[in-house]
Amino acid sequence: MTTGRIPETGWIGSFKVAHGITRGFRIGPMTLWIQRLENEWRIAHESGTDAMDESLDLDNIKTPEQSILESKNAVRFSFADDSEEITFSARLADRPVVTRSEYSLNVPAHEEVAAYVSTPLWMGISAGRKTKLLLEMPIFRPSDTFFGPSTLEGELCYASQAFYRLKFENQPLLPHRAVTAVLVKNKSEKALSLDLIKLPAPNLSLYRIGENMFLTQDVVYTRTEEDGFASLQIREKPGVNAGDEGGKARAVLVSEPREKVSGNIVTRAFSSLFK
Amino acid sequence: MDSILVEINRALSSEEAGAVLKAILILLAGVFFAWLLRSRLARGRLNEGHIALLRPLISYIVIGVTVLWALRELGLNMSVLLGAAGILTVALGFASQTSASNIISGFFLMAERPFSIGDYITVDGNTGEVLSIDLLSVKIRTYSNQLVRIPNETMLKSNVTNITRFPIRRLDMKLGVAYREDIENVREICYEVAHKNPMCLEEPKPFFFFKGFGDSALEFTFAPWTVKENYWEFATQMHIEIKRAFDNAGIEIPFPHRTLYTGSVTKPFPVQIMSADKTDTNSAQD
Repeated sequence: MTTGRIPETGWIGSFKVAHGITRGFRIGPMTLWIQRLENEWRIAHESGTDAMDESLDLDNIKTPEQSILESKNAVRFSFADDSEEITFSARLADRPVVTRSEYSLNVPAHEEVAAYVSTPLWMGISAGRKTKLLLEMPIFRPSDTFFGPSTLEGELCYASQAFYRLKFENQPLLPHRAVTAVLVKNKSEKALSLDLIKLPAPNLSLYRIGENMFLTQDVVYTRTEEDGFASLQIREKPGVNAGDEGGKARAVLVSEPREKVSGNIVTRAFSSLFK
Repeated sequence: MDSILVEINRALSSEEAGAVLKAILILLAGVFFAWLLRSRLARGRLNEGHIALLRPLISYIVIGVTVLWALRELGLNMSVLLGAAGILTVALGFASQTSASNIISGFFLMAERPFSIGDYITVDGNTGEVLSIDLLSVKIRTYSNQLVRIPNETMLKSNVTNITRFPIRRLDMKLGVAYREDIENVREICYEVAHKNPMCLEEPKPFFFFKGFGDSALEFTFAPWTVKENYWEFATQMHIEIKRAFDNAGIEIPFPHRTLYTGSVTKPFPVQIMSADKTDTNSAQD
């Protein structure tokens, strides 16, 4: 993990790339190059190996060897629009994200715990006056994982590279990851093992406080009886993470959920939420 | 057969236009009813395989009954027709034993549901995607884009492996390293390679099984999991990455070794070093 202060300038927004110029951006582990040619946008990127890389540099990335932008990994977009603006946007993952605890954790009967989960962001790149989406990709491609009671049934998810933390301060705030407060209420008579938590990332909205602190709506899991089900509630805005009331008010909506859930409380099989 | 024709002729020549009209209406109604049933079938809960199997069957039955009914309305003596049909059925029965067996096997397959259209299966050494499950056969498209028609009876009698039934698959990599290597270290490297590959599932965890002391190597199986859609790409990547990681760590993947002993009482094998020129000359003479 590299160290250093996160710049105040955010990476979400519009940037100018003049004709014939290549501009580089470093967002966490990803280095991105964008070249504007006549009637064409050319995009190439390289991904580092450290999922928790803190880097953010929007101005000083060296122009790459031309070969990178001419390699097979570069993506080209034909564009009649002669606009020189490129727009970056952020969204949450397109599948649920599974986070594990660093140490085994149990929630006794009639107890509750708040866990802070870090999930990777997806970056959208749009261009043109009507901001047409060119491509969307994870800033760091998380590993796949399978979450379910057996290998026969379950759901394909992403594995978060970061452990969940019991204190918000212990969860690194990175410009390419969002933090979600997950409140787990165990209202049953049995202790609840919390080795893995599945976060329904596609159902959550993404918020921003300041330029580079990303949060999502809070999520509340309630295990009530021994019937194998738990309820999942998605709160309206980030609450616990945002701190004081002022923080909550400053939270700006960055993107809507990919999939909206009907109603804010959903009942799911217990085994499909925790392990 | 002649009597049937006579009956038809009599029915037509009787100029009972009303009966003819009625027969036509019955036929049209039968065709419409068959179409209705077929379209209802498509909207039901049945899967594509069942629909493909039941559709023609429903059409044959409904239209068959309708035709008989229409003929009856035309005044045809059904007992003659049924008698002829009985004889015909016996003849056809002998001639179409295989077809009947395939049709009945098709029904068993439908009830058992071992696979659906779009699944990848292996039957009798043929692996491919199931394109259709028909009345008589199952058609699969192999990886090399060939169509293989497998009779339903064969499907029922053979071992069928459904490769894509479940969402995830395990890649069993059979590996071996030289005897001098530290197997714990090898295991760590395998896990690290799997962890770095985003296609490798974190859960279920990869499986490492030390099989034993082989003829030339310490043999083990490393089995990470991936999503079924990524299987082939993942298999290729993992083999390349494991080889690269072993090379980087200086771990030898041995090929079969054979040590020759001449015995304690014999002399060592004589070794003769020949000059390159002489070797070339010998080669040329050979």
